Amino acid sequence: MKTQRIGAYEITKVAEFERMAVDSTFLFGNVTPAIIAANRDWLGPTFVEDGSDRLILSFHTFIIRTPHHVILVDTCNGNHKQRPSMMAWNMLETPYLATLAAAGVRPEQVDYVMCTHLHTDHVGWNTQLVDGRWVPTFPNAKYLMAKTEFDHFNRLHQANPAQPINRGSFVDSVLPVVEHGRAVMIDTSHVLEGQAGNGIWLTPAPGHTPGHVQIRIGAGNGLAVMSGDIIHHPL
Amino acid sequence: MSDKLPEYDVFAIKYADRQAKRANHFIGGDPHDLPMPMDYFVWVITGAGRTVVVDSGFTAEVAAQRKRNHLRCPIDSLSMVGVDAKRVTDVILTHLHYDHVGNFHKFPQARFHLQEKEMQFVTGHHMRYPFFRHSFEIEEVVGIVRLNFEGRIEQLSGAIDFAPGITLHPTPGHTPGLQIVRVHTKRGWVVLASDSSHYYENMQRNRPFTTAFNIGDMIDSYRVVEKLAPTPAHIVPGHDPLVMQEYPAPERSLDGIVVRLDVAPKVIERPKL
Repeated sequence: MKTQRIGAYEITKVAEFERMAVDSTFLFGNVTPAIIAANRDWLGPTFVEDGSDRLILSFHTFIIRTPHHVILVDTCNGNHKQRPSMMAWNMLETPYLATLAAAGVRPEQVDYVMCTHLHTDHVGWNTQLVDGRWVPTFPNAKYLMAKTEFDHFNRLHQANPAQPINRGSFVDSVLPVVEHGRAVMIDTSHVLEGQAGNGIWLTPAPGHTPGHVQIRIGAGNGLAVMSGDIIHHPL
Repeated sequence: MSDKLPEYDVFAIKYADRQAKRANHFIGGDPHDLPMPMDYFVWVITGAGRTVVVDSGFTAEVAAQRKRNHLRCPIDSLSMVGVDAKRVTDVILTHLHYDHVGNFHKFPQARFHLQEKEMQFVTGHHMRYPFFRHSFEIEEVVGIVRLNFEGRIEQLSGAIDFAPGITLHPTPGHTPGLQIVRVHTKRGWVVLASDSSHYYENMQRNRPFTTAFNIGDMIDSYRVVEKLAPTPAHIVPGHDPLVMQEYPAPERSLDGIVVRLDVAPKVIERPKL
């Protein structure tokens, strides 16, 4: 588990699972075997499957530890979620919470959960199954959501509640957080700590979804950008 | 009544994996500092009115303790190939390591078939040594002993005809009681080699896996496995991620989770190291 430092901020990556091989055309419309071959040597077996052209995706959370707060960025797929349209994410039973604990974070210690966007594989651990009901995994956390992002998917859901929005994750991983009063709707330039330019702040990055955000962490001469799904894969 | 052997459907279900390096998998190590991840499987044989599960994986709790990347319950995953664990009557245990006998309690109706030498090993004097004990879970050993008292364990001695088109063969070495399963399919006899060869490479290069009881037996067992299979492409190793790449998923939605072993694999070129 690697930890990087930007000023007083510590960033640790915690994996839910690190290897899902997908056809390269699933991610890129115009990729060819020649492009993969030309880039294989620097991508290596971590990012391209040996013996095929499939690309490897990883599902992980970034923990940001600040002098004041513990922030989780993106919460992967979650356990026990029904995902019939994507079996690789269906009814998972990963030791994600134990991995988080090994990184020194217990659920009650999390102050903020910030999802770059509300797609299935970014909101899973927002909630966990307790006595047959979905409840927020992080009981003391404020779950920050870009209002434009929430409104977009909520509109789709309200228009046709029987249609599973985001493979069903909107209902089992986003709405329960709202219902428990833990969701805080923010705008896409929200500042989490310090100020824009010296702290932790968001910038709008629509495209992949309407309310997708980048998370920027800047202190002194260091700047980190969490790109979410602006960049799925190094290729 | 036809004397023709049944042609079973055979599946491998991947339920977990872990990162590892080449040096972890060969006695004597390996000079190439390259990743060589390990996949964890259970296998399922269906057809001719029969369902047989081979091995039962490890539990989420044991996975957390041993830091394996548990992805999904292997027994719940049986439903992906149309099998209901609660109704399974026969489970073959290749051996009693934690990643092959965990979850046995999720088969309430089943009899378990294993070699008597494996039962004797886990209750015998070698268990005083952490080197051998380490790969077993005490509660699973005790659980199998309880099932034996309940009459639900079939203890085998040597090679047997388990059912028409399914035969079991002792391949000692990794453990003294390890056995493998040979199953007849539309492409001929397929050998589920389990831990008689964790990776294709162990057997192909005659380089035994690091967890070992009797190394001489491990090498001799490679020859036994080879003789049982019509071609090398009919041998399925126990933990090799190449199995997931070379064999097809029964349907697209199960890609990366389940593969069919009763059809020919597309053999992937291995880099010459």
